Amino acid sequence: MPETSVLGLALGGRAAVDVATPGSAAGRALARLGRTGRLGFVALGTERLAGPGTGPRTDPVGAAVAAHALVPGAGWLAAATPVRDHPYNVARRALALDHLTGGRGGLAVAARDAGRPGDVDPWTGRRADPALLSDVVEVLRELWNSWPLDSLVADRATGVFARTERIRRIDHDGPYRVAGPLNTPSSRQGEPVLAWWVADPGAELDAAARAADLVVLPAGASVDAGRLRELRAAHPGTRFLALHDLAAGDADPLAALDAPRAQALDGVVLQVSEHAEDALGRLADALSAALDAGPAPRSATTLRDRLGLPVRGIDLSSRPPAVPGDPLAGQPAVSGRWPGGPSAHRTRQQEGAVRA
Amino acid sequence: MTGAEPIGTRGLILNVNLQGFGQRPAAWQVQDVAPDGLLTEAFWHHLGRTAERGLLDAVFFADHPAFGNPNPRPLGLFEPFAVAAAIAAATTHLGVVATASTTYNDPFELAERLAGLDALTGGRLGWNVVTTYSPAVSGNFGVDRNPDRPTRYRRAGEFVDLVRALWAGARTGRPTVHHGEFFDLEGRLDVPPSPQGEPILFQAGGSPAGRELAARIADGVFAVELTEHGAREHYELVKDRAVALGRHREDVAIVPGLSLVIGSTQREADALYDDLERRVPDSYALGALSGVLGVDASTLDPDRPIPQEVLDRTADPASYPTSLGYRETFHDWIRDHNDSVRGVLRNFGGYGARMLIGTPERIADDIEGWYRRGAADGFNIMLGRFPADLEIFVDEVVPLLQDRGVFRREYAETTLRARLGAPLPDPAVVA
Repeated sequence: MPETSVLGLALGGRAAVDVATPGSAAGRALARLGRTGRLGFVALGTERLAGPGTGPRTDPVGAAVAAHALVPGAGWLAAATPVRDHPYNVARRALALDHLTGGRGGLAVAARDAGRPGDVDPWTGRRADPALLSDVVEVLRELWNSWPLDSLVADRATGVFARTERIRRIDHDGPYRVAGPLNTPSSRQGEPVLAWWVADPGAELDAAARAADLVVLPAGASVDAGRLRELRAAHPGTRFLALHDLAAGDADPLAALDAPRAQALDGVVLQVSEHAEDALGRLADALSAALDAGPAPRSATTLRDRLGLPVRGIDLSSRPPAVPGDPLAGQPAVSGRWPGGPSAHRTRQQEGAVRA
Repeated sequence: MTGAEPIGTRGLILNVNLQGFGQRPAAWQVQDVAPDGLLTEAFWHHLGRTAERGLLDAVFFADHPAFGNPNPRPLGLFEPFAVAAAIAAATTHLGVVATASTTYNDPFELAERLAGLDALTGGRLGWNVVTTYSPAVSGNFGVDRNPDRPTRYRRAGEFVDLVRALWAGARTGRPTVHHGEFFDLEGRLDVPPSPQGEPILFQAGGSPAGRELAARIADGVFAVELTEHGAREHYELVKDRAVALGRHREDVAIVPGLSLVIGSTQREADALYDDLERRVPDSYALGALSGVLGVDASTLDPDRPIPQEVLDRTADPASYPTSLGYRETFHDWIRDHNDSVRGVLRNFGGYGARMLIGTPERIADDIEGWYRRGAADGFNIMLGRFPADLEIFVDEVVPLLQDRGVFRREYAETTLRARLGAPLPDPAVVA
């Protein structure tokens, strides 16, 4: 079992809106909590990942982009579901968040969203369920691997900005058919971190453990010790966390941190949906005062490293290249009648005789 | 004679289209850039703060939900609303307008996300409504080819009406019940209120169907106009149509693109442009020209004008693969200039906007002239190099426009809606 005990924060509804609002008291409380050095990650927009899904809703990626400076060392996960949201679009937003936070971004996903109308995906015609989410995650990960970051060279001598040989189509053919590549180079941390919010442990645990870096169990759920050992053996890179509601009135916010250890889980995700200023403020006070609040996350440059998650990737080398041949290829051949090229010519427009 | 709106009510609109390292493909080669510079928050924060220092109305982001060869020019590496959020986080007054396609998004999800982001930015968000014609995109969404133009615009019209109904419903508390050709849903958004009510709408698409959509729903139009006479004609066309549909002329702002290369002298500007262009393979501009003509431009005689029979090929509006609006204005421009193919390649800009290479004075003359003569309410500025040319534009061109009385000296408002003077759609009418 990993040494690091993860502390995550799940902010949904009003709490997410308030924390991301510039200059807010809730934001300041989060920053104070962050300065205790204990916070591994913040997930925004989590109201849509479980329960009735009621809001008010912010834009999770936008909010994370806006708020991440409040806790510079932590990770930032944006909530997303496949309900009415195509994985190509989700993949782009997540990887943008990841780059804008310097390699500390990711997604918190769930199979359904009770706050959006209908549960039939408009692109595949399929019902939104854990099986569809598994396909979504595979698409996301393949897209996140389709354009290697180290292909960017910006070589002025040759005029080559990127060495395109390793950029690959993904040609995913599942319920979703996605050609790729993504138009965003890959993450500094290999891939954004992916957390799967489990609604029904009986039905989803295998899929979640296989697909995700972090499996987040619903509040109050417990997993049989033998089952957990099985899952860990099959997916050694996966961490298992438990949600716990953090109410503003909690007399001892730190009590929540003990529960996962008793269950041999890897940490806790404290869930706040309103009165964020109070709830986060009390937690910050309690953590600052506690002498033994558990091991702190490593000081690290990426979220994956901070949480002790392995770097992972998908080998796409057998898929078709996106740009065949020479990095500057893909342009029409130029005939021999262009000595000096078009840029060598100046017309009367440049002499100032422009006719409107 | 009808002309520009009275100066002093709204004033000249200046948006800046943030195109990575610059509008010119070789922009990254002439600046000191890190290969991953475009992927850093610091790069975008600097652009946002510079644009705000220059009192610009808004920044603008195009979108292309597909891979594009980053050689010679990397472009659009981020989903545009994510980077718009970064710009908004670094500024307090600047508007942020980003593009999303009605062809490859869902109206409920987009309405929810944009309303949330609008509230987060304090009412500074705009959505540029487009349809997708690029063949590179459809395969990313499990579709063999994009819908044809008439279908795309029917979907776009229904999409926008539904989004607006959802936004109105968020304000009134009334659920939306919609059963249309493309979308079926019954629901209600639960989003925080925005100081501007709901996001501003821009529209980009110069085909007849695009102009009709603009006249009906757009607060602003990103037009492509290569000639002033064409611009004035389309300006009146859209404004007249808006009035016929029950709106006021000033409710829809016409904002054509304008690509600039700026030098302190004309010679310096030309030299800078030539330097930028010689670093890029000729095939790049040839490819762009081939795209708009529908023939391989490298087969044409470079020292003669484009043959009339090539220009005369009619475009079938349903199947013409790129922008009809661009094709129309490009043909106008060709007729006016009668350049050799080589000259066309140098001067047409290649990338969808009028090119102007010159000094700050010449640029200010051009901008002021179009504005006062009723060809535009403002411009969507594209700059050769970022951040260098944005700094020059803010430091050298904006003061000239201020001195001429056409551009603001301070922000008088914080929301984009107030800045544009765009009325909020009446929820009773929309829903």
